[in-house]
Parts: sequence; C-alpha cells; structure tokens
Amino acid sequence: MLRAVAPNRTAWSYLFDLGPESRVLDLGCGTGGVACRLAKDHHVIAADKSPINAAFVKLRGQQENLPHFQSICADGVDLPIADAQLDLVCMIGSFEWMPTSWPNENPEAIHARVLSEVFRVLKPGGSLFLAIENRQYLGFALGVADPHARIRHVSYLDRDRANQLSLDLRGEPFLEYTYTRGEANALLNNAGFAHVDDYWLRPDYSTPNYIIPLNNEHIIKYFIEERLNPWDFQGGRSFVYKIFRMLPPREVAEHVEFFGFCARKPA
Amino acid sequence: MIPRIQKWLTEHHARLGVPAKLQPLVLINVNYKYVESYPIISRVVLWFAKDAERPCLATKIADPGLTREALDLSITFQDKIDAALGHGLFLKIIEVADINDRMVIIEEACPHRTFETDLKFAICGPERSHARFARTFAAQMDEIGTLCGKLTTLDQGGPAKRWGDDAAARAHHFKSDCGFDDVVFSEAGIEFMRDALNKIELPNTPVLADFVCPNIFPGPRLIDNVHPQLEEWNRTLPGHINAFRFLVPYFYSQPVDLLYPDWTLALASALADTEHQSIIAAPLGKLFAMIGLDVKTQADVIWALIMYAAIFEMQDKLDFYRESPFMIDGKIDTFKKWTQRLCGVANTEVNADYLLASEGNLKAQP
Repeated sequence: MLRAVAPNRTAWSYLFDLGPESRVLDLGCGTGGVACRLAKDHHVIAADKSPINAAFVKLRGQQENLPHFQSICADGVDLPIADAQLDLVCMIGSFEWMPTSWPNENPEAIHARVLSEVFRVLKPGGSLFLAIENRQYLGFALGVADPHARIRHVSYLDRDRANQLSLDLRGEPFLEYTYTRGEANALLNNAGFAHVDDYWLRPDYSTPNYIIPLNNEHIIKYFIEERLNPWDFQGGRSFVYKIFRMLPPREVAEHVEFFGFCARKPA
Repeated sequence: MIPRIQKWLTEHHARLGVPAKLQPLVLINVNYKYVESYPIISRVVLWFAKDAERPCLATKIADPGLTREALDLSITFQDKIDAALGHGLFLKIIEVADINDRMVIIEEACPHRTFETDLKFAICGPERSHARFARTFAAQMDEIGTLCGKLTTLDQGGPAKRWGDDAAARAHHFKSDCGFDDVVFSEAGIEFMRDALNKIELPNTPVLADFVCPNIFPGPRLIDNVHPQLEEWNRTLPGHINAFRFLVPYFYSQPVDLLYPDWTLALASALADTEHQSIIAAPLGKLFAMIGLDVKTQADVIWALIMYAAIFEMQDKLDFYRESPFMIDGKIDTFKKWTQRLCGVANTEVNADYLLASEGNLKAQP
C-alpha cells in the first residue's frame, strides 16, 4: 500500500530529458501508481491489458484531476497508437508478465513483438525505460523463489527445464520470462534500439533509492562499499551481501536483482 | 533532468575544475517520506570522472518548496561557521544553477566515508566485531564532541539563557499535538526536564540544520546544512542541543538500534555506567565533557537535554508526516512508546546490565 504512493515510484524518470509537453506511455500500468505520478508533469497514456485496471486507472486520473491523462485497455503486442507519437515508453515490472496472455506462444517471441511495437510508437530519438528482474540474480541461486512463478530456481534454468519444473510444481507452463543483462541488451538491439544504458535499481524497481550505472565498475564498487547496507539483507539474503562484497564489480553487474534499461530509438 | 544537469556540467566543466564527461550515480530519498513537496533536498546525484574511484562533484535538485532566500541564508551561515572554526565543516557549495526551472546545488563531493558507512562495517557484515565497534564508536563520539565543543564556544551574542521553560513549552505543544494524555507523557516528566534545564545557563551558540549520522563524514564534515527553518532554529534553540540532536537519531536508527533496540534505555544506562563496563559509556562521557557537562554530577541535565532533543525530533517528524495519511498513525504509536520511555527511564534505577546484554546482539547481525 505504502509503496503504491511512494514519491520515488518515478525516480528513474530523472534519467530522461522530459518537459511538460513530453508524451509518455506507461505500458502495463497496473493500478496507475507510475502513470498518475508522471501525469502531474507530462502528457501520459496509461495502458493495461486488464479492463478492470484500465477502468480503475481512468477513474483514478479523473479523481486526481490529471489534465493530460488517458487510460486505455491494450495489449503490448498491438498498441492502438499511431507511429512515432511518444517521447518515452516505460514498462515497470510489466514486461515479464506480457507473455501470460499468449500461453501458446513462445514468450521470447511475444517480448520481441512488444519491443517492436514500442519502437514503432516512439518518436525518433525517443526512449524506452524497461525495469525488470534479472534472470541471473544471485539470490535465485541461493534459493530465493522467482517472484512471478513463485518457484525456486526456475528463472535461471534452461527454458525447457524451467518449463517442465513449472508444469510439475504448479501445473502451468513457465511464461514469465526474465533475462540476463546480455540477453536483455540483445533483445533491445534486435528491436532496433541503438543505444542501451543499463542500471542497477536498489532496493527495487518499484521504489528505487539508488540508480547505479552498470557499465562503470568503479561506481559499482563505490556503491557496494559506501551505500549498500548489510542490514537490508536479512536472513538467507545475507549471503547475497557477502558475495557482492566478494565478487569483482563486473560480476556483481551480472547478478544484481533489478535492472533498469534505458534504450534509445535512433534520431 | 539528469541529462540537462549533465549538459550544464559539460558546458561549465572548465570553471568547475572537473572533466567534461561525467557519469551519474543517482541517490533518491534515502528514507521513504511519502510526501512530495517537502522543502528539503532529497535528490542527489554523485558525478564520477572516468576511472575515478570516488565522485568528484555532487549535484542536488532542490525541492520547489526551498526558496532562494533560505538557500542563501544557509550558505552565509555555513561560511560564517567555517570562518569561525578555521576549517571547512561543510561541503563547499560551489554554485547554485537554475536548470529546467529548478534550483540545482553544485557541491563538493564527499571526500571520505560517512559515519554511517563506518558504523555499518562495525556492526554488520563480515568485518563486524566488538573491537571494531568500540573503536568506531569512540572515534565518532570524539569527533562529534570536538566539533560540538568548538561550536559551543562560538557565542553569537545576547545573554546566556536557562532553557527549561522553552523545553517545557515545546513538550506541552507536542503532547497536545499528538493527543497524548498524562499516562503517555507525564507532567512529572515534563517538570523534571524543565527543572533540570533551568539549573544551567547556556550561551547563544550556532544550531546546525541536518545533524544526523548519514550526513556526517569523519573529520567531521557535514553533507547538508540547508533547511528553510535554520534561521528560526538559531533563534529558538540552544546550541548545546546539536550534540543531542546527533545522539538521539544515532541511537534510534540503524545500525545502532540493531545492537541496542531500546535507545532510551541504552542512553540512560550509559549515563549510569560510571565504571565504564560497557563499550559506549566512556566515549559518551567524554563527548558530554567536551561540551561542558559532567556525567557524574549533571546526569539529570544531560537526560533533560536528551528529552529536549527527542521532543524536537519527534515534533519535526510529526509536522513532516502529518501530510501523509499512510504514515502518521504508525509514527504517533512510535512517539507514544518513546515518550513513555523518556519519562519512565528517567525515574528508573538503571545500570550497565542492559548495555552488556545488548552487546551480544552483534553476533546475530547479518
């Protein structure tokens, strides 16, 4: 509940050069925590494939008197938006869920279609912000359950083995694909995005307090030494802190929990 | 916003004496506040040069609620204190830029670890030990004692004052604001504070703005001294409260509260531990001595100043969280416990037992 209204829900938006006239799409907006906050400063379209969420967010926008705000019910694979309309598209914890609407399709193919749609609706020079869990988060190997399927070890296994494990334990295929840093970069590049910056979002992508560039080992080292608090890693997660202290920064970058990708469409 | 700051820094890098190409590490609202327009800087970007291990510059995006006048006053105040102390206590504010219709403070970046960083290594993580905690705690109390000792010699003029009545008035305001009855915040407790504080006269010395552990570097140097109420605090608070405004959050926050879960009992026990059986008693006694207070003969005055600082901190938080319907009830519950403890512990016989038992908590930390 508290996280839903936290001001740092949109902390990542500082990474972009947005003005009052900027047009933003929050794709997979859920109950509108990000979209409604962004709409205080920008023109925003909130999209969700759930008609209930879309109706709720529409009402929320009306209650908050957001002047330049629109809520639509739409799936990421087929956006009802003309080409080259938007300055920014954000997907905060929604991308990994999108294949669940298409259980008979390859999740990676669905993700590629979504990224292709996002690329289409962005203006030249526009940006995508994608916040998602890391498939190779260190905690997963130490027994932390995947937060989507709620199954341990499923995220980092080979996809076929993960699917079998998911069928065995919950009777459903494993569709909630997350990616490694390299895989996500490749997906974005394949969709046409020319320049991708990746970040570590701490403590999580919903309410980040820290945004750490992953392409600078010195900054990662500084962050771990100076800013990372061991008491945030209680119980079994205390090993994660200790291993982060042990690993070289370039390895930490591959095994953080939450990624934020800033991808730019060529101008 | 960050690309615009980056562009501004690139355009002005020669004058600032930093490389043209800098990379940001963004720190945002470290404590969840759930209030958007709080007039305190909460968005800090540390800028790193290529291959540099520490940041070379910090920029702070000021909240729209912070006026230019309040900022100018803070800068003037900092310069005045630095000149009086003969060294730079505050990180130097190099420039205040207007970027994208927002005030952005361009500031010297932290040259050292903060107190909080040193404490976290002492109490948590693989390097923790009682010896390291004892060393760290003693060093920090010594540094804060030295600083507060110097500050309490910077008499800003005007007659010295007895602060008991002011403290009692603040306590009554806080009690009424929270809707507390006598069971929660007893009149006897308030009278104890008034009487103890009225025993001594305190000179009119500077009051600092943000005096909490994460904002202090070994040295010590302060990260932030910008606050819209700074001028008012300097008119209405005794400078001696600095040390106690440092100690109270130091003890109730992580990581120290992981060791001593009851901060009131920890501080009271330290005052009672005259034989210095615990780790914290001797360094605390030294800190108090540096600001002219003797633990053996003025324990009541010290406790009254702890109460005064705690009431000030709680009122500040109350005013802040009042705007957040999601947080305020929980905060008032916490204040209720603290207020009862502040009055209760003052009337209870304590010794070093709590501290000695709590020191064992170090082994259980992550």
